[in-house]
Amino acid sequence: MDKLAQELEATREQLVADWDEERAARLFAGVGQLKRRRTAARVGLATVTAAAGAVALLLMNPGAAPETQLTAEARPGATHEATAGETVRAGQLRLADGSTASMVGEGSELELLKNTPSHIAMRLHQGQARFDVVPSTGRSFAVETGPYRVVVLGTVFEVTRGADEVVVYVERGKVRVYGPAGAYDVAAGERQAFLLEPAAVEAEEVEEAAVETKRVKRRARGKRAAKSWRSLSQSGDYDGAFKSLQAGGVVDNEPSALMDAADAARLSGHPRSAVKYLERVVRDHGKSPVAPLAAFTLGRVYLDRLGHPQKAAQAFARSRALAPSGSMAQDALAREVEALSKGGDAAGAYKRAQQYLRRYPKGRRVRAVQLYGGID
Amino acid sequence: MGSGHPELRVVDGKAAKADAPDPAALSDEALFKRYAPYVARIGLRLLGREADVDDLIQEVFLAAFRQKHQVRDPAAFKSWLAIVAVRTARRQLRKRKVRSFVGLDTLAPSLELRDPDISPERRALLTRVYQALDQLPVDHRLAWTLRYVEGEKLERVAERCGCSLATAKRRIAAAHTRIQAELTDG
Repeated sequence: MDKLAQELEATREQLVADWDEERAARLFAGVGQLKRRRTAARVGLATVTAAAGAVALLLMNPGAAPETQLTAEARPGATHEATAGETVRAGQLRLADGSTASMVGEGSELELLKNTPSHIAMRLHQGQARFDVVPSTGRSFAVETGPYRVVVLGTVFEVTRGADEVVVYVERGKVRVYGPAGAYDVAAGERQAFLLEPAAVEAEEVEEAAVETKRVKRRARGKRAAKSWRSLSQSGDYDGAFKSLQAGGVVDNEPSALMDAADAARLSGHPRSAVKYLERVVRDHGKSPVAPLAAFTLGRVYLDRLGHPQKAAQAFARSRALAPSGSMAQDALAREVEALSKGGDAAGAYKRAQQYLRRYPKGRRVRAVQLYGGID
Repeated sequence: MGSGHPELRVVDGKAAKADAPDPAALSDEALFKRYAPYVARIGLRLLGREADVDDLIQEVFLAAFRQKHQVRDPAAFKSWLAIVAVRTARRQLRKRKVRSFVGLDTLAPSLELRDPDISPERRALLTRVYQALDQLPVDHRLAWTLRYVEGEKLERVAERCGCSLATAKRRIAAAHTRIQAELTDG
């Protein structure tokens, strides 16, 4: 087993998600919400199919009476003139241009957003509805549901809902399908499929991965130029690495090199030199993934090695600001309390301690935070 | 690659606990309470980013609640969850790559390490490992993570990735070489 594998095996038990009852309850509730959203999306797509079918049917057979297409679930006699802003759960809506919207089954909920002779828009919140659309060239007619919006532009078209995709075939005219990936026009004679699942763009990814591989290899070749201090640092010879640095070793102004240089300085007993490198990471590479770690390490060096608690508190605060929900945020806040306390700022320590206890009531540093924050 | 969930069937039944409860007999909440920490752990290790784990957990349990009544072998249920987790992670990682490619994804790995006294050096190593993983093809990343981070046997890696043993070995070896080169070259 090589060194990397050994390191990972030793770290495995530490690599776990923070899990508590609050998170469990939130996520369990989230599964229910996700289920409802998915159900609504599926029903919505089925409705789109029904609406398209109704449009096509009506355009091909304009003489058909709308009432003959109602299902048994729609309550006869419940037709009424609709007004914008109204939400309908049963019966049939008669729209401003003469079109109708009929609720199908129980539990349907349709909100009428706009209802003028020139502009009709509805949002289906749940359930199923059937739309009988009067042909018109001067009116927009749109049905929104979930992430999709189907706009009727005056056409004859078919929509087919498959297991993994929606297929739109346009016989005459044009439709516009709006979805999570944007709008797409389908013109006469075209057949277009829209994926229901997030796009699995495997081909593009394979190509992209190949490009990435070449890029990594190029970068690796460039970095293989002699940088002995880094090799020494990474092999654990921090004294040798720091001597090599002092002898004129070049440190690139990029985060990983600066962190290696900081390690070499810090772990060879030269904390002031380490500060110089760590501050460069925080100042020049604030968006780097290692910036929070650099700020946290800076705080530790100031507090534990150099005896500058005020600067340490600032560094811990900076670490939190760089990654408010990162893995080090909790420890950074706890150590900020400690630094403020040791720096004589009792009020500041108390304030931050309260913040810690609110945010991490069962945190691993509660006892130390209470102690330094002056909380009994 | 199929987007659906695998059929519930006997997978790795020998390794599973014989006293595993029948998931169909458990309420959704009890099922979630029992298995969610396990899924969260796998999710974090596969994705390397705490912020993405919640979505994975919800997707996995949405499938689990729907299909728990089709379980033939309760002992295999945990393995089935792991397979769904891997498939879900694959979709998320692919989306992340595309978002990253167009500059919409700039988040860094956000790992939770249980031991607060773990050395900064080890934290940094893990961060760099996950940065290197971000450079890999998704299937290579998944196979390598299952092998070296999750500590799975090769046969189990192949099963969870839905590939042959030879393919799993090839992916792991390719990923390992790349990661070691990346760590060595800084």
